[in-house]
Amino acid sequence: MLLKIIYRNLAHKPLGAALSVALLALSTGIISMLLLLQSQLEQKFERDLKDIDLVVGAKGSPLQLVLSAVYHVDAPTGNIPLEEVEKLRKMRSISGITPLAYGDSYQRFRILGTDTTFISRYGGKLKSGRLFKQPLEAVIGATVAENTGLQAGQTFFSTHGDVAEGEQHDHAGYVVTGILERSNTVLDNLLLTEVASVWSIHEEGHEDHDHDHDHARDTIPREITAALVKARSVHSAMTLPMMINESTGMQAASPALEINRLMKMLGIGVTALQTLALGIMLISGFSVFIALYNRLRERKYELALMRSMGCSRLRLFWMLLSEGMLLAVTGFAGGVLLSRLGLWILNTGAAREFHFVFRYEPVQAELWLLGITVLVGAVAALVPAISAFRMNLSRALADA
Amino acid sequence: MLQTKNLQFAYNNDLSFSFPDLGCGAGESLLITGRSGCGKTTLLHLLAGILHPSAGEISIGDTLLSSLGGAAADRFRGACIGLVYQRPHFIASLTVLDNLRLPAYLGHKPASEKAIGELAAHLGIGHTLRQLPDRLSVGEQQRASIARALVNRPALILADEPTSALDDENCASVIELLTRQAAEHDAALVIVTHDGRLKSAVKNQVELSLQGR
Repeated sequence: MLLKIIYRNLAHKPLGAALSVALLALSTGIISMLLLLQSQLEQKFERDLKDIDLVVGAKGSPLQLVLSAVYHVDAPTGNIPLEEVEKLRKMRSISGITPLAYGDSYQRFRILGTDTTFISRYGGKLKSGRLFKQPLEAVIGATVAENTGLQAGQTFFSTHGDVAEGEQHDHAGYVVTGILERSNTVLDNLLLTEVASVWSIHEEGHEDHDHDHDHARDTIPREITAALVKARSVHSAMTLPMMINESTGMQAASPALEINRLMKMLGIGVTALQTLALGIMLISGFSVFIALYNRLRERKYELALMRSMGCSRLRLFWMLLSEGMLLAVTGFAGGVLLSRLGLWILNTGAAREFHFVFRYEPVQAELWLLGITVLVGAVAALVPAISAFRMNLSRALADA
Repeated sequence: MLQTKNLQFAYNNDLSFSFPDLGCGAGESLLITGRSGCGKTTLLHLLAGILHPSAGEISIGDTLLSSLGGAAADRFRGACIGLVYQRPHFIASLTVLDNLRLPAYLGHKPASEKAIGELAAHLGIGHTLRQLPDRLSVGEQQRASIARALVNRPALILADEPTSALDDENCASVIELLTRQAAEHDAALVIVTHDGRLKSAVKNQVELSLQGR
């Protein structure tokens, strides 16, 4: 019954309440979306960082090198001679090297020349078919298979570069030998093949094209784009970069350090948005206060009436406090919906571009957000609730 | 049923009242008249346990109301006293039916929808139960507020100027309704008013004199 009174009272004059709920929904929506983005991006960054202590590639921006070689989102910094990488392999402080050679793309999904250590590094498992054994055989990720409809045994032709409209290499096709199970890592969005495939496509291409990087076949030095390095110890992971940066023509970057740096830069934006959202939340708290306080003046006689019918002060106090908290919970529910709507828009718009699909399940921090929102509602309702608690019943009845 | 002894109340040093001893049996009616400012509403609020007397005793049935503290007085009022006011006030967002349920809920008393329906029909407002209170005519509203005072079958009904906002016709029917319902429910009925029209309707009368300033 008390719940009914609370609900009916809010529904009776819905405009003031609606503003409060809308403001609360906006602020909790922004915060909840930030929480979801942050936790999922961090998870994703961590997962893709598996076992990679260093990335070795051409000189340039270390962040770009990490983004391109580990997360496959940016353009590579350039090429490095295979010879140099093979020298690294002999070093005692390095326990494993995975070469990466970017060649072309297929329907905007990258084709990556590498070896099978790349798949085992991310814990990839074959869903069907077998791994690649020779040039021009490819294993494709789960998302790629889903989006392109490619199946084991089919042949596809790559496109030069990274764009869908690029020039098509139709002289040498890849054969799909296997499809990987979904692993929620970069594997899902890649077509994997031997490094040699990437070379052979372009070498044969050179014979009948007039590319600016046209060289005689035997003078082309074998090049790859980058290499993922696993160090033998934490100590060598710390000392290797300096050694490689000073004594070779390549650069070594630590993904963990670079991602930390990136997160710090993003953090400024996130903090700004969070501050904005908290500001909106304060205003919404104020609006809840105004809505309840205005209604309190109109309802003073109703409350006195309830007191005269035996409703205790404390019960009346709780009733008004609950009104504020009900507004808060409603606003929070709206905010959760808003944040999911935001993610959905991101997913439909940009997921393909970033090879990442955001998930909708709640994160634990949202529970905290709920708690804080309810607290804001309760604090906003506190003054009206206290003045109802302290109401002089005799005078309130006589004044009407 | 109702008995007061040496009742006094002081708002402050300058404004205090002392009231004559009152008594009203179950099923009886008592009319308290007097000019405005003589403490009628103060007396009514004392009898309802809304104000606490500075001296003297109020007993209702077996309960010494003047000895009850705030929350206990609230509880007792909710369960045993029905109040009727000069102007009928309701919770505007609730239907008439829910408004009639409210005293039972707040007074922790059982009230079936059927019993409320019968009471409302008896008072001629059965057709209004699903409406919001402000849709009712003034006469209907006053009947509804009488119904609300009766829902918990109280031992004591207190009416504060129940007729002064009504025309002669409504006045006569409301006072007739109040006295008859109180008698039917075996409740003591105390009406405070300055409305001279009621003097002929109720036999037991007490006139308060201007005092205390």
